[in-house]
Amino acid sequence: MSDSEQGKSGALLIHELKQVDDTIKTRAIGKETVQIRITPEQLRELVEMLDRLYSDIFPENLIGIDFEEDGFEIIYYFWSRNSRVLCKIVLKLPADSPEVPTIADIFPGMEWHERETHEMFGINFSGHPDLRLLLLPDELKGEFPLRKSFEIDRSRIHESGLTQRRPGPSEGGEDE
Amino acid sequence: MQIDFFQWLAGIPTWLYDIIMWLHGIIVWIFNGVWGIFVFVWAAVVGNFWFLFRAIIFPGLVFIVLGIIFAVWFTRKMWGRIQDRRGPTHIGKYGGFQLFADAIKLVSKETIIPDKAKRWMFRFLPCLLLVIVLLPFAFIPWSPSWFIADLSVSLVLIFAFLTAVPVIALLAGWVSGSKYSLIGGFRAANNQFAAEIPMIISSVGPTLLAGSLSLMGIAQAQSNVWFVVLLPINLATFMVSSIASVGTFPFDSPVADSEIIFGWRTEFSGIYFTMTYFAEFAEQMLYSAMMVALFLGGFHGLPFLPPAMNFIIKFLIVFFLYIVVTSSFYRLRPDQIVEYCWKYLLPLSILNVVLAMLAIVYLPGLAGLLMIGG
Amino acid sequence: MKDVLEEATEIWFGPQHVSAHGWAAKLTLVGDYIVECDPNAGYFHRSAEKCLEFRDFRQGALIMERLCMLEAFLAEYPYVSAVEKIAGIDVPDRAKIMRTIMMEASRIHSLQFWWGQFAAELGLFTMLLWPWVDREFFLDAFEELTGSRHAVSYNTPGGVKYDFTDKFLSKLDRAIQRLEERMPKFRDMLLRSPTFKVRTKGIGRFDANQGLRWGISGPNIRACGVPMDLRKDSPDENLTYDMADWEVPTYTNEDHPGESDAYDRMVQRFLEIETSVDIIRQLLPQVPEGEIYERKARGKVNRLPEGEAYGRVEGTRGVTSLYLRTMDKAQTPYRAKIRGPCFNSYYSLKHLVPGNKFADFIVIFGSLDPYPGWWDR
Repeated sequence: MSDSEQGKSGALLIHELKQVDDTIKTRAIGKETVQIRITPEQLRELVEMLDRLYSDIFPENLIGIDFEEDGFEIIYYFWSRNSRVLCKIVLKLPADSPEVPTIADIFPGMEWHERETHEMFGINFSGHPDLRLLLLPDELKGEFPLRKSFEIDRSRIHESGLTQRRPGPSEGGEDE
Repeated sequence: MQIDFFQWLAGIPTWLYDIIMWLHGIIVWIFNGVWGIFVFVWAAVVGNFWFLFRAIIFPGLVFIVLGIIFAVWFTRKMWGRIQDRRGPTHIGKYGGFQLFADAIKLVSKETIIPDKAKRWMFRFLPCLLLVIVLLPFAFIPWSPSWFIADLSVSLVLIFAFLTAVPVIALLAGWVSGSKYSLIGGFRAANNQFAAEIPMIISSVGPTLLAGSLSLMGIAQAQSNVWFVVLLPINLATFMVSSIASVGTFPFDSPVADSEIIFGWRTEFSGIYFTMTYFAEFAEQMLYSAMMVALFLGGFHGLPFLPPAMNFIIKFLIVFFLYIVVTSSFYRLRPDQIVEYCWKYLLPLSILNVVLAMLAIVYLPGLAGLLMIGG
Repeated sequence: MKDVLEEATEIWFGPQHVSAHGWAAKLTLVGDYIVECDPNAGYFHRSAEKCLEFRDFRQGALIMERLCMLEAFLAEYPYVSAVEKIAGIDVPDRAKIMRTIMMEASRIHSLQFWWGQFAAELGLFTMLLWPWVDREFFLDAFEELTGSRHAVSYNTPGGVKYDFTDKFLSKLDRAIQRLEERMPKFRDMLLRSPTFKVRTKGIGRFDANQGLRWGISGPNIRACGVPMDLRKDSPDENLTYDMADWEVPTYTNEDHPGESDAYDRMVQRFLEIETSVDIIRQLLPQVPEGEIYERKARGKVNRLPEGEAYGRVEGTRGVTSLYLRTMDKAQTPYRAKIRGPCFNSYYSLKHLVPGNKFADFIVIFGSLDPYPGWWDR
């Protein structure tokens, strides 16, 4: 850890971003979080810039959210320990054919996160080396379970008898 | 043709008598035959009674099988104590019958043979393994009188038998039709490749000092001085390389459960697994007994005890050392096993032989104690 | 020239393999060397994220702790923290410090479990059982506190569920004392054992920069000398790590500074346990009197306002976090994403393993302290 990086707080990131592109909406949340709203085209450029700015940038998380007809949202979390900056990158994606450029070649740690988001939400990460199913069984290929439109299969639940009310003792059922 | 009816009638008793005599003849003949066989067998048994008793009961099969059962129990109990637990407790006093229960369970299990396995070989190899491991016990000199066979080259013969063990392991891995088994088989061969030469070189010392290749001869030669006094390093190298040859814990890469499931034994189940399991313990026991005979004075020891008792006490101590070693080291990689065996064990074992020779030459009186030159 | 891959063998390490407890990796071997490793996940997948969308905010923590039973107190915390942030619940001081103590105890317990597991993977069952015996003392303490050995369900939005009792405190003290008594023995058996050294030194080496890019965190990255620890870097307002005086444990091997191999990671785990014991020892006398549960939270958790929160905690195995998104007047989360620390360390096998011997695969895997529950959520 170098002491020179201690000063690079979130303000520095916001300042740098302003110089690159004025249209990027940045907002500091709390002490350490910096929220950046960008379009998918700007993603790779921004991530490369993060990589340059912070020597110890850590790809922490990738979150997909399905807003049904309002499209998808993707949130990247990057954490720099030296500068205490939690960088939150928010992307809006259209509901039909959502596509994001991959950043797995810059941060290999995001490779599986992207694979998971791909299989769970059907978001295409263009340029990703390996988009096979990761967690899901083969039967669920193309089903995207974490989308809100995914029906949890209850077609056979009546066979289990859980849906009917159990008859009480007065109705001829067994006593508890 | 006319038949005199009365004459015919009068002939019936003779006829019946003839039939009865004929049957009697047959019975007597059979009885004489059986009796003859019995007499022959009885004569053979009585004439060779002690040999048969030795081969079957005391230092022979029954004793060895009971010994294996005890060894398994002893190992499990000792491991348990070393590892902060109790070991088997439930069946029998102190869990003594646990192995019988285990054996009944294993034997009564279905034997599953993989599709890709060579069925005949798969069934045959575990049996062969157990036989090969049990045969060398014939040459162990439990006492001057209690032994099964004493050949002038029994030590060489034991090594010849034991070299077949990893070959069987390799074959078993090969015919099992599983990649893990095959890897385990090659690792067993690798272990033997690493450990056999140091082990044989380590046993050269006692043979030179005793001037004999027979285990009995070597044991008898230690009446004044145990060879461990002159060959302490060889005792250690023999022990380490024998552990490597058996393939138990620090050198258990042939059956490394966290790496290759159970190595060449992966596909064996039920009775076949039991046989390989027994064979491993029998091999450990065999090496313990060899160490007692080669280095630790054989049946010599406390004079007020019977010689066999001396041997068995020392045997148990050596076996306990095995258990301690197998529960205190991490598993070595196959290439490390070869490296250590060839780099350290082999020079050390040769060094000790050289040192012993120098000691005999430069320490007067030692040669007399060792009865060198007969 | 002949292509080496023509002679390659593919071998599946798992899922029926004895040491592959719920995972499988496809290894491509040339001779004894691994040239390619393709870790596979999903054998354990329980759709925890989807399940969370159908459970209310009290039930969610119970699902979280089932992801990793070994560090149950820690595993349920990110969810609880995220819910508290959205609902704006203030946690009583007593509950804060109790949470911290229990999380550290949970960390010690989890690391002890890992000692045993790693030793068994290296083929020594004595070292499997010795730490597991000591671990029982912690489990006894957990049972005394919560009534359950593993599924503790201790943290809840607004505080904790069970108060410390004298009996629990004596049991916890006994567990820690026993651990400290046995620590030299474990040092002898692990760090000073010659066979352990030859098996782990130089195996699975990566440097800090690579490790960060692969997303490795926690003790694995601290063993490279990077003091990355959320307990210190990003102190949670509902935890009281600042009340104790401690340093982030890091280990730097002088032979290869900035890099860590399997042996360094084991040394690092020893430092971790010592730090945790130190923190517990310092915090226990400081527990104030007062409530353990914020009563207002009971109503607030029923329906949460619209919002998003990111709960993070330094787990035993690294950064454990949960992203929670709620809609207005929500009874259940709209989206909950769990980041398990082992998700990335398991992924990094793909880069770490090739070039090593087949026998070393399980050593590299084990040295990262992976737990399948964290990648198959």
